[in-house]
Amino acid sequence: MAIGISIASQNAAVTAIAGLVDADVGPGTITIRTGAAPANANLGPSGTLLATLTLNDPAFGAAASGVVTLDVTPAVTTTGVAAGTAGYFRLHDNSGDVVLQGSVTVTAGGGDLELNTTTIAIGTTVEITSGTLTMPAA
Amino acid sequence: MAETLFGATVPTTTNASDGAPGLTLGTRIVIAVAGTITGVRWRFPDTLPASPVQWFLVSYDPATDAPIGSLASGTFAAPTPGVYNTASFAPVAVAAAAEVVAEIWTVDRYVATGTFFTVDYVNGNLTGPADDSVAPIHRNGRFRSGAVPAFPTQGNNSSYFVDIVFEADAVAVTGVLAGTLPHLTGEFEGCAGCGTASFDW
Repeated sequence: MAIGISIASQNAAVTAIAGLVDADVGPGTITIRTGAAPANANLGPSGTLLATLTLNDPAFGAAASGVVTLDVTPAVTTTGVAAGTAGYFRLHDNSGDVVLQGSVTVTAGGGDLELNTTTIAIGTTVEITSGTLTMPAA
Repeated sequence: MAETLFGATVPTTTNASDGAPGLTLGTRIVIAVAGTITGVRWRFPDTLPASPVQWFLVSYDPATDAPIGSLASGTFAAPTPGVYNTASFAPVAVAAAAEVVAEIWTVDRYVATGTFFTVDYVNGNLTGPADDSVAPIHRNGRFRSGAVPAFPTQGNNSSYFVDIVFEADAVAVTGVLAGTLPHLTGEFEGCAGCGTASFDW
């Protein structure tokens, strides 16, 4: 059975992780690349960089019930820099250090980041319209 | 990214000639997504035709097997024999599922591959539908004999490699981030009543 934590602990944990995105001076970023994610977030990136989205600073709002919400005002948007099929993303601080990584799928595909299409082309507008990070209670 | 129906496909017959009066040759093309057409291309014969080759792009109505209207036209300038030559023009916007016929008129020489359009020929967003001789008839590839260009109404499933250059409209990519962090794991060890203490008085 997993350890169960209180809401206060959930909030503290997710705030600490989300806070890493803003740890440096300047906003963090989300990079989207082709292929499967590396085995863990400590390894160097794999695949082709398709898009880099600059986040707002701070990137996330205050935690509630173990959830922080991505600030998307102003819009978190960019344009594709290469053509390919998105496979995974990484959340970085302003220095490029990796905070976390996750999968990318099409909508309802079960990915941590779901896109309306995973096909990205050079010049294609790429926007993340909403986002959350959740620290589960157990 | 620009798309074409035939790519670099080489016809099996690369230097045919039926002599005068000439031929209008065409390909019916269905376009899956919205975008723009920026050119008409044709795989020229190994020997250039005896007079300039004219090209045409028309919108097509499958219900009547007739052209709706002209989208662009012109003459290939200084073409190179034995390769695909493209005549570019100002982008013509087309909607998803639009149908066009790309045509050329040659006074004599042409290229062909027989029994090509026995099935749909698909390349990306572009489809050359199979030749259909059952009413309502939809020919592909298409031809018409004549000393002047005219909409090609005949066909026998041969391809004459008249093509378009198409660019799909960019589709915006939008997404939602919903990440769940790993849960906390822990392990504690202990015992109850496992210690003893003795005291000397």
